[in-house]
Amino acid sequence: MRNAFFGCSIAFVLGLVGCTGEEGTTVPEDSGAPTDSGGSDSTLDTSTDGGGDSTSDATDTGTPVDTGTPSDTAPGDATDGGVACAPTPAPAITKTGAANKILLKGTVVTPDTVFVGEVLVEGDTITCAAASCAGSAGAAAATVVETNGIIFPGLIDTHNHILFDIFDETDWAPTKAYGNHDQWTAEPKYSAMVDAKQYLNGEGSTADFGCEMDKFGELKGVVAGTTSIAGAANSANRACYGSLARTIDQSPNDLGADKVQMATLFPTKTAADGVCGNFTDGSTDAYLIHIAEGVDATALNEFAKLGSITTTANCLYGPKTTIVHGTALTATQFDIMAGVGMRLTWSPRSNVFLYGAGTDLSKTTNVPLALSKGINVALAPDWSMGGSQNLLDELRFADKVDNTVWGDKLTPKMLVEMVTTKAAKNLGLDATIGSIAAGKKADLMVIGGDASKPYDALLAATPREVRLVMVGGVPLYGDAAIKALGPTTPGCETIDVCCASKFVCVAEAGGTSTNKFGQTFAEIKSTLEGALTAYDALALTSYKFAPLTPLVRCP
Amino acid sequence: MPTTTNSTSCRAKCRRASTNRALRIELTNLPDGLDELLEPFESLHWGQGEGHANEGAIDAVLVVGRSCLVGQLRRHEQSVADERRCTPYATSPPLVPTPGMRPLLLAVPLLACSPAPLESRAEPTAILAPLRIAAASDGGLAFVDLTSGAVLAHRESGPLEDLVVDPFRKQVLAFETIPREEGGYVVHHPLDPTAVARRWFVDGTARLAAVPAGTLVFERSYGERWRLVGDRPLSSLPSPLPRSPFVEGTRALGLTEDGVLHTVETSPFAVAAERPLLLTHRTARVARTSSGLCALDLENGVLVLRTLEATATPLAIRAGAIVDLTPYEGGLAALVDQPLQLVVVRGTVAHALPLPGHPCGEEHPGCHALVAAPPRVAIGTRDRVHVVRMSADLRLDLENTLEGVHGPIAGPLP
Repeated sequence: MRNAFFGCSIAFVLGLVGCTGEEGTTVPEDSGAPTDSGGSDSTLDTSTDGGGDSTSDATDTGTPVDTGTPSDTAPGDATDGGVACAPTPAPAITKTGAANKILLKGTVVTPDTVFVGEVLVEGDTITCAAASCAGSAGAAAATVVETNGIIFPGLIDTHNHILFDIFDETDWAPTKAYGNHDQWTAEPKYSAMVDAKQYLNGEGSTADFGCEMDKFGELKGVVAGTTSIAGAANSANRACYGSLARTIDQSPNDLGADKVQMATLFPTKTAADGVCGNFTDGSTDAYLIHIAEGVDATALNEFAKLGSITTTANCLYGPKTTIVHGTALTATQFDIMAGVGMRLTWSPRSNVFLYGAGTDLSKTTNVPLALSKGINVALAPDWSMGGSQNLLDELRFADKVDNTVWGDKLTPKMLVEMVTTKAAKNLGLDATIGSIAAGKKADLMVIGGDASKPYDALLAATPREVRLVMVGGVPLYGDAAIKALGPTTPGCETIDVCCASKFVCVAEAGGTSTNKFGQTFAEIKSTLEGALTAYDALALTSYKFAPLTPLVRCP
Repeated sequence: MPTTTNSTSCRAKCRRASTNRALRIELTNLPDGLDELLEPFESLHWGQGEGHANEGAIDAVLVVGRSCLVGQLRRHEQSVADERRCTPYATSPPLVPTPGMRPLLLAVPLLACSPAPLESRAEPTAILAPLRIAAASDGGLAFVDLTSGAVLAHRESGPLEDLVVDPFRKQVLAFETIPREEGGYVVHHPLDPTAVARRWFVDGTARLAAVPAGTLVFERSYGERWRLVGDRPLSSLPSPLPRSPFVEGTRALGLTEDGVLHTVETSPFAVAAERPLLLTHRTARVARTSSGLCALDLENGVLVLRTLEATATPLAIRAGAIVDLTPYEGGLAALVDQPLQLVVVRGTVAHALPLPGHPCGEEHPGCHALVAAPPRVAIGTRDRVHVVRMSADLRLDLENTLEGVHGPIAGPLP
C-alpha cells in the first residue's frame, strides 16, 4: 500500500504556527485551544494524495513518501489531485443517558464487514454491534454519541518495553548498524540510558517512579487508540498498572487472569521448562519471547536453541508461542513455525533502527514470507527509541517497508488486522478483545476520516485524529467536544495534542499512595520531568535525559 | 559467661589462604581435653588471633578482613563481642608446644595478624553457629550448621538463583527470582535475626558479589552490565556476565565466556583491566592460589591447570564442564560435571571424588556450588548439599549429605 497522506503536510506545518506548545500539555479549561475536528488547518492544504488510497491497491509500486513519522492531517482532510482536505464533522453527544451505557454511532469495522451502524457498550462489555441496536434492552437508557467517524476495536500492542517510553531516539540512537541484539547494548549512551531507567524505577535506588513511567507509556499508547499493551513492565503486577490501557501481560489487566508471559531474555532451561508446564496446566495461553532479533547467524541460532533448551524437546514450538522479532528467520524456520502454529510479532521500525542504520528498510522480518506460510503476524512498536512512538506510527512505517521492500504486498486491512484481531490471537485473547462483537470487552477507538476507506483512514491517523478511546467501556481520551463522556469523578483533563483540544481521563477514584490511581496526567508529567532533571543533576554521566519525551510527537 | 580468669593461655594465629575471606585459625598450647571442646570449630577458617581457654570456652580474637572480632568460642555457639581493627604481625607468634599440651591443627597459616587485646571484650550481640552456610531450601533460605546438618534458621524467599556472604555488612545477599516473571529481587538478609531484610528489583537475571563499597551486581537485563549498588548511584559498566567472580580487596575479578579476565576497581568504580587468557573451554574458571591466579581449563575432555602465563599442567581427570572453582588450602577446589565430581588441587596434584546428583547447571550462572571450609568442602547441587572431608593425606570422603537444602550455597557465615 503506498503512502496516502503526504498531501496535507504543508497545511499542517503552517497550522503549527502559533501553536508551539508541547503536545500533550495540559491546558486550562476554556483556554481557547482549537477543538479538533479532524482538519482545522485544511483550508491551507495543497495536498495531492490524501487518505483515499485504495485498500486493495496491491499492485501500486509507486515510490512511497512516508517517512514513518506521524501523519500531518486527518485522512479525510486530504484528497487526491490537489483538492483541499475536507474535515469530517466533529463527534457530539446527542443524548445524555446512563453513564455506564454508551451507544456509539458511526462506521463500524468488524472483522468481517464494515457498516454504518451502532455499538452499544454496557459496563465493560459490548452488548450490540449492528446497523441498529434499538432492540437492545440497554439502548434506550444509553448516552448516545454521534461519532461522525469510524469505530474500530482498540489497538493491541503485543511488544513494548514500556518503562523506556519516557525516552526516544534523542536519548539514544545506535552509532552503527548491528548484527544482533547483544551488540548494541555496550554502547556508552545506551548503557547510561539504562542506568537512568533503573535509577528512576528504583532498581537499586531509592527512587520510585515506576508507576509514573508505566502510566506515561500507557498514555502514549492510549492517545493513539491502543487499549492493551504487553509492556514488560517490571517489577511485575504493581497495583498502579491497573489503570489506563490494559497491562495485558500482568495481573492488573482487568480480565480476571493473566495468562500472558513475556520474555525479553532467552530463557534458562528451568524457566523454559516452567513455561512448558504452564502450557500444560493452562496457566499460560501466550508466551511472547524475543527470538532471532538481528540479522546474523547468532540471532538466527536462537530459534533452534529455543527448541532444544527444554527438557522435552520442542515443547515451546507450539501455538501458544509467539516469536517476537524473528528478524533473522528464513523459510526453514517459518515452515517449522507454521507447522506447529507458532506466531510472530513484527516490529519493523525498531529493526531498521538497530540493524539497518535507520535507512535500510530491508533489515526487518520477512513478513510476506511468514504470511505466505500461514503464520499469524501481529505488529507492534517495541519501544520509542527508534521504535515508533505509538502503534499508529508503526502502522505507517510497516506500510512504508511494505511499499519499498516488498512491492506493496500488505493491504491496509492486513496491517490493521495485525494490531487488532491477529494481535489478540497472539495473546490468546481473541475471544475477549481485538474485535467489535457482542460479548467482547468494550475496548474501542474512534477516528475521523474517510469512512469509505476505513483501513486507509486508520493508517493515516495520528493521535490528533483519534476522537475517542475507551478501555473496558470507560472513555479515557478523545475530542474535547465529547469530554462529558468521561468519568465525572475525579474528572478528566483537557490537553493540547498537535493543536487539537482533547480530553484525557487519567486520575481515577480510589487513589492511594500505593496504587497512585489519583494521579492526573499533569502530575505524572511533572513528576517525570522533575525526576529526569534531578537525575541529570547527579552528573553520573555526560549524557542528559531531560526533558521528558513528548506524549505525542507532532510533525 | 566464662571469663579469662584462671584460664589457660593458648595461641591462635591466622593465615591468609588466598583472599581476605579465607583467613584461618590455628590454636596451639591447648590443655588436654580441650580438643574435644574445639571439635565443632576445627574447620573455622575465617579468623585468627590470640585466645584463652578454660573449661567452658575459648575466648579468642578473630579476624575477618581487616577487622578483629573479640569473641568467645563455645562448644556449639560462638559469641561475637566486639569488633576492632587488626594490625598485621611483623612476625608470627611463637607456636611451641609444651609438655602436656598438644597442638590442634585448625588451619595452615600463611599470614599472621596481631591480636587485639581481650580486656575490652563486651557483651555478645549475636549468637552464631560454629560453622554455618547459607543454602537454598524449598521456599526459602536456610542457615545450616554444616557439621550437624541442622537448619539453624529459615527465611522465606522466592526461588534462589544466587547466594553470597557479605562480610562487610554481616549479611547474606540473595538473588530471588519471581515465578512466571523474568526479573528478580536482590535481598539483603542480615545475620542478625531481628533485623529486617531489604530488597530491590532487578529487571532480568543477576549474580552478586559483596565488595566494601556495596553490592556488585552482574546483571543480564537490557544488556549485560556490572553495576555497583551502594550508598549512592553510579554508572554501570557494560561487561559480559562472569563465571565464578571473586573479590580481592576493593577489586572484583571475573572470567567471561570469551576467555577475558575482567577486573574492576570498586572504589572508585571503574574498569581496572581486561586481560584475554589463553583458554580452550568456555567453562574455564579462574581463582587465586597461594602461588597466584590460576585457571582451571578443559582440553580434549581433560582438566588442565594453567597459570595466567599459559603454562599448562594436565590433571588426568576427565570432565565435560567446570561448574565452580574456589581457593582451598592454598590450592583449588573445583566442582566439575560430566561426570559430577569434586576435584581438589594442591600444587599439581589433583584428587577427585565422584558425587551423586546434579549441579545447578550452566543455566543458573549465579549458582554457587562450592563452599570451602577446610578440611571440608560443601557442594550445593540441584537437590541437596554434600559435605566432603579431606584428610591430611588428601583423601576425599563424602562425610554427609544434607537433605532439604540445595544449591546455591554460600559461606561460611561470619
